[in-house]
Amino acid sequence: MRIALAVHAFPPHEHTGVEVHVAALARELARRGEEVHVFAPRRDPRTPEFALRREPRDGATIHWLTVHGGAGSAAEHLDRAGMQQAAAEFLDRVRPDVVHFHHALTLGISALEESTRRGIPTLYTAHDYSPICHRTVLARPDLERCLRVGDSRACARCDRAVSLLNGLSRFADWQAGVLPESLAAEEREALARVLAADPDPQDADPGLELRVGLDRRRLAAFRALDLVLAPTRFLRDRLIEGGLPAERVELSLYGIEVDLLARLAPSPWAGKGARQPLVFGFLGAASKHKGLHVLLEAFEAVKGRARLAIHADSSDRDHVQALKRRAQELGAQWHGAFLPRELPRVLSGIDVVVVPSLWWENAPFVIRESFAAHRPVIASATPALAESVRDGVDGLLAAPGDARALGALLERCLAEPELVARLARAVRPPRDLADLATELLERYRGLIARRAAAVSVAPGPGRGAPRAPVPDHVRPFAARVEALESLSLDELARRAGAGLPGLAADLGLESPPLGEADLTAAALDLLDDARREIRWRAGREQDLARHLESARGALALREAELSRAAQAQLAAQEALEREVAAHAEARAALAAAAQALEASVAEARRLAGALAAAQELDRRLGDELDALRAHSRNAERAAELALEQVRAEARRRAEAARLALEELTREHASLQAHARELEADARELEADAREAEALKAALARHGEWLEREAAAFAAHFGPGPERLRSEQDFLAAHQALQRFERELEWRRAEMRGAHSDGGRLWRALLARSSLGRRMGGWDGRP
Amino acid sequence: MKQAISIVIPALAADESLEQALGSLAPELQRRAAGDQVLLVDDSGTGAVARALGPWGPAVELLEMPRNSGFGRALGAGIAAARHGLVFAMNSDVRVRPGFAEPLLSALDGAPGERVFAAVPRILLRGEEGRVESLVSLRLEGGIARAAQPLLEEAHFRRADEAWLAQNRNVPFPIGGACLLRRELFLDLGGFDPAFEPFYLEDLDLGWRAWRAGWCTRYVGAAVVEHRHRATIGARVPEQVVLQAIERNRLLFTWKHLDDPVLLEEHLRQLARRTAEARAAGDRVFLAALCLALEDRGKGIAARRAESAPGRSGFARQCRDTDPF
Repeated sequence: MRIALAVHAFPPHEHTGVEVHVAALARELARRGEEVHVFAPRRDPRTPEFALRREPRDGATIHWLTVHGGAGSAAEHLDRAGMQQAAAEFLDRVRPDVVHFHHALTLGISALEESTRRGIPTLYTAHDYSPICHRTVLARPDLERCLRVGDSRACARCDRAVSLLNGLSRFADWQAGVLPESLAAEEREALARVLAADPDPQDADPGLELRVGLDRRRLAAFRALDLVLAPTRFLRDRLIEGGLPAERVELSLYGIEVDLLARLAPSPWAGKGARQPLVFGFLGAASKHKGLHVLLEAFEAVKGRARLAIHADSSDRDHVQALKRRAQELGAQWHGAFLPRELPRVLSGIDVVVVPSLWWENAPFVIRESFAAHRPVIASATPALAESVRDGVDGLLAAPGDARALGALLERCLAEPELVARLARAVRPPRDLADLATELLERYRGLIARRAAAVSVAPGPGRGAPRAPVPDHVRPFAARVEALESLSLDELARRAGAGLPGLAADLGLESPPLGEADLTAAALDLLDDARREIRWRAGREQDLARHLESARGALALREAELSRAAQAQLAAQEALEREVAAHAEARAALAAAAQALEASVAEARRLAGALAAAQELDRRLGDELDALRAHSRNAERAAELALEQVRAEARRRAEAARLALEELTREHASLQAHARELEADARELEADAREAEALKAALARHGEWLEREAAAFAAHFGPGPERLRSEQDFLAAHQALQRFERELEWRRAEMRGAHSDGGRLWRALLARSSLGRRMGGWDGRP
Repeated sequence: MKQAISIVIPALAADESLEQALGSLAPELQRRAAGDQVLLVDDSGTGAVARALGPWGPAVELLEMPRNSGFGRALGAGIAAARHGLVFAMNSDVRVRPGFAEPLLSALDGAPGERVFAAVPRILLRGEEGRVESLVSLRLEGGIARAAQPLLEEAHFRRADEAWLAQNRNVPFPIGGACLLRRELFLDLGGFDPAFEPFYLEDLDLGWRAWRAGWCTRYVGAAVVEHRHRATIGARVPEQVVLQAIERNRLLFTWKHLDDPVLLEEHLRQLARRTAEARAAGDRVFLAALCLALEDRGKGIAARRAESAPGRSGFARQCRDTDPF
């Protein structure tokens, strides 16, 4: 049977419990004639990442897979990029009948997936809680034990707590757990808050989403396994609680190489009368969750009366330093780490082994080794440890983390001299590795048979699985192909190589050209090819390095250029912004000016319109004025003509008046005769005459006024006053004048009427124009 | 008078492919009216094809294989049972285009002094113009024979123009999935060599044996058929098995026919080297194929010995002479 054992680390690079156990198992299986291949990562800076190197060891072949550095993220912790391909390469090379994983740490779950995907019977021994807890130990970062199995929200809180603690730089390699007393009060509170509180369900929580996704994938990978083995019932129950199918999770107790330890001399305290100082011992990892600090506190109760031998170390350097200091204070012996081969010597110096773990410890190999060496064990009273240590029978149990209780048990061992001897006598040897190997081989065969019954003739999934049944005539050939598929690469090559000489003979070649020399030559050529490839690659790498260097230089120059350009750009931008602001202002001003201009243009247009209208009106008024002037001139001429006619008439009438006056003169002579007749009356009339004289004076004055008037009139209109020599003349003239005046008055009235008509038309025209206002003072005269 | 032919179609199932194949033949047979025979070989081993023929039943004759035997045996049985002297071997996933038969019949007459064993039409992969399966060549690659179909490769098929494709030319072998061949000669040659079972390269071997017997194979550009390619085997057999069959048969063919001692010795040296290289490179396909071929070499080697005396020799020259590229 070709068996592949996959494990996260392997001796001599690592030699803690699981690694040493797998190495022993590989030896045992190989010893039984099985073909054993161990697939194990190691850090090897001399080889490239994922290089696969073979090394024969103790009958098995170790396939060392080079990994550089640890996981950088939670996702990488679960599945490291490139690991699936590396696992595929290993599986292609070995073509194992069965793959037995002992851990998925470092390998990642893609290695598990690759194995199950190929249909290879695949099983996994759970040495811790990895299938259901991404922290593997089912403990929170504050070292509180967790029982919220399968609750991704709780797991996400652990992620957040880890992030919080990673931020505290003083914890260099804190191994995913801190003692609360090592934290400041506010840090403790912050950690407690993170671990206690779920985020608001309304808030998106990318951390939770990531955790849920990773947990789902991890669970799916483990659920796809053919079988999961758990060394304790407690662990088995937790795995099932965490979602693994109950029918494929089975109990399988650890087995260890018992012989060497069984030959150890019993502790002096196992017999009667041994009264050397009792030696308590702690073996293993000095990580916090292993509880060595609790043991040291407990040891205070018995210091000076018992001894404590500590064979432990850890990369948690701060914690180890603190433990060492405390051990020194208490007088405990700090021996540090030991190699597996040194275990008998280590155990021979210890009477009682203490396992003070704080976590849900599973099935520590150290308990089995102690029992193999007939040493009783004091352990923490956790359910899984209670499956290994029978309290009061082959050991004692104390509440985990309770230094006082543990101290009381140490005290009891001293106070009850027969107790250690009684416990030691009751110790039963643990299961032997050979027994476990037998069980595993049976399991392997069962899984292989079950798988063989389940799979069709198809060599495996992912290789163009047919849709319809394979035709009968193809089946024998397909079966042969499948049989060859199951061979390892080495076996295939060996078979092919072995057949070539026979072929040469069959083909009738006189001297077969094949042989070791040819194969060696081919191998040497290949080696040369590989060397050339390496040289070429090295050269290429150097070229690339040079290119890289030159690119870096160019990049630096370019960066500087860009920086300068950016600064210039910034300055230009600022200037531009200023210019833009100025432009904006100018634009606003322009807009205002434009608005004003528009208003002006509108006003100008309006004025131009008005002016044109005024000019038109003016022109028309001018025309009308001219017409009126002409009319007026005509009227004046008519008036002058009429006046001339009136004057002629007046002259004619004055002539007539003169003639009448002459008539009157003659009449006056007659009248004088009559006067005389009237002389008598005259006297009578004398009084009247005086009166008349007064009237005459008045009239004379009036006559003078009239004369002046008449003179003025005559000076203007006709014969002068010189012509009015007599009163009669005067009266006649006066009457004529009155008539003339009336005539003149009539003429004037007629002129006025004419003027008035012209004036009315004139005023009407003026009223329709602004010119009228300007001509407002005009009284209508031409 | 038109010459009648027998059309022999081995089939695993009466599926859509077969229906299309028969559907493409029906109008051609009607047009030709030459008394052609359609012989369907039911290779299901269960009579499934015969039962599911439906409306095609009356148009075809049936030959039931007692058990599923594979393409080579089923076709061989069909050819043996055919009524006419000229047989058109046809895969059930091939569709003929109108007028496919006449150019093939003409080509069998051959040039003066040339004896044509088989005429192979222009077989278009999935009906794509230019992707011609039947313009094949045989080469030695790393000392191992390889039947190449360059026009299936992107770079070549784009360059092939219609005038070139239409031209008749000799090729090293007829594609078994669609070719017109002489029944008697096929039977005289012993049909397909069972050493190549379950499938692939049996037609190459047949064409090579015909050449050794003095007959050639003619590619006929004017006859056109379409092929779905591996619709029968690819749908039922894992790809890995198909690959191994091809690789093993390349080796068997080489061991059977490589007649130049110098080339043969070179071949063996190459095998040794390839073995070492495959070991280093993790090339499981080659190693497994070599193991299979070594296990099966007996029949091929025996045939080689039997055929080595008479007939032609000059493997490399024949490869050159029949290379259309």
